[in-house]
Amino acid sequence: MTIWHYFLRDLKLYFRNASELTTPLIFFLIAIAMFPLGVSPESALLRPISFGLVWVVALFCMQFSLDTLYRDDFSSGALEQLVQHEVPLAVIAISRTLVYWVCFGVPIAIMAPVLGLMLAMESSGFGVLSLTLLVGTMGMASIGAIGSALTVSLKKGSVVMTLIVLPMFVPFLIFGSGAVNAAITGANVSPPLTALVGITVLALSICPPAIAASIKMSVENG
Amino acid sequence: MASNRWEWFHRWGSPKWYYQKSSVWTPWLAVLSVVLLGTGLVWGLAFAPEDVKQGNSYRIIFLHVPAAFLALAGYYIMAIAGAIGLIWRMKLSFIAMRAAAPLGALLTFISLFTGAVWGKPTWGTYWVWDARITSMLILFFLYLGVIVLTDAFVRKDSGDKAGAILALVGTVNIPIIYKSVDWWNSLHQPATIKLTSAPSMDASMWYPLLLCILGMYAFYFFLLLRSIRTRVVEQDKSKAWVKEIL
Repeated sequence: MTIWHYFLRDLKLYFRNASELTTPLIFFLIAIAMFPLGVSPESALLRPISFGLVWVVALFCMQFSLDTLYRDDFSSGALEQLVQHEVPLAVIAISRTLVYWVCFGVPIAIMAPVLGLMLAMESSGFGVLSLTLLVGTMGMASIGAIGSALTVSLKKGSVVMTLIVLPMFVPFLIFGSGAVNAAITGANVSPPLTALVGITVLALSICPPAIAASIKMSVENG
Repeated sequence: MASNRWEWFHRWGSPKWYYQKSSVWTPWLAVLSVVLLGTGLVWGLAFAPEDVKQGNSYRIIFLHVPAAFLALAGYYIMAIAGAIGLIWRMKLSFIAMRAAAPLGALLTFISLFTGAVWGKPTWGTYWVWDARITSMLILFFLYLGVIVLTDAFVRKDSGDKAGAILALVGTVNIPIIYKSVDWWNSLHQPATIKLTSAPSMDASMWYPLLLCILGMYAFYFFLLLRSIRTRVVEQDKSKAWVKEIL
């Protein structure tokens, strides 16, 4: 089996379990709908914070769905097989992260402008909002995968994971929503955007060995 | 011989050796920290001149800055201890990592708290989303994450490894978080606080501060070594050498 087989297998598994795929995205929609109810329906009040809210809720949405990364494979014992496999664990981890990004990151990036529209966001920022989320979710997925792999063997793992993963998402949030802010105010978008791409590339290249080490630890822990 | 060259390092693998040696080191560290911190604090709080702009309220700096120094250094001490544990499978090193985590979290909290107390008379508010404060807050979260993760595992060696991996990932992340928060702060509220760019301190304030920082280092290592000692004894409580001591 080559890495391509793994990629297709993981993708198939995600699409077979439709509710697992859609629940975080429905959460994204519902959570955004809470803000006008809690803050104010005034578009003058919502407009300046709209893209920030979308980014923050996207962040929660990501860590909410991270549990799907390794939980099933751990309980079925498939993770133990992957550790033994000839394809290096780090490579499998990259492939799994990319599948996860296709299933959650891409839909989040597509949904974001619509949710921004509901919060009376400036339409000039829609493109950058989608782009930053498309890039940022990939970086957050690879960092989040470490958190998921570290806590998968714990019974109450998802609570612990939230605590360890969210602080590490901070740079993505700052540069992501900063780039949208720049686009709306007419400032130069490229500095925050390049920084976002930079930390995403860094995360993608540094995280796989850490994910592999975490999976091995979790499998040993049983 | 190569084995002799590394002997000093391998000795750290023995909890018993550590226990015996640290009972010699800790009293010295205690004396050192009392002398340095005592002199620095008395000098700073009672004899150093009053600040022109801030009056006496600035004197909290003699606690605030040393705590912040060690809060930052403590994360790297924790991560390096974790890395040594991962690479050489050294139990004592993992114990040091576990001991450094709550200590670092406490120091981060102290520096945040003293900063808030200082902020009230100086900036007129307890909390400002200033770049340094925000970074310290996130550092506090990172410490809490390591503590919670290591404690969540029933099996000790799994918790050790998990904590070490997380601490190492955190060390890569900290500079990035700091830089991003700096950038974010300059974007949202340009130049609210000029404290950092104020003219450099006068020697009459700087010397007691330096003493306090050095004293805090000594005090930190005193607490760390004591904490490791307690943990070593607890871990080896069924072994013969502990039963002999107790």
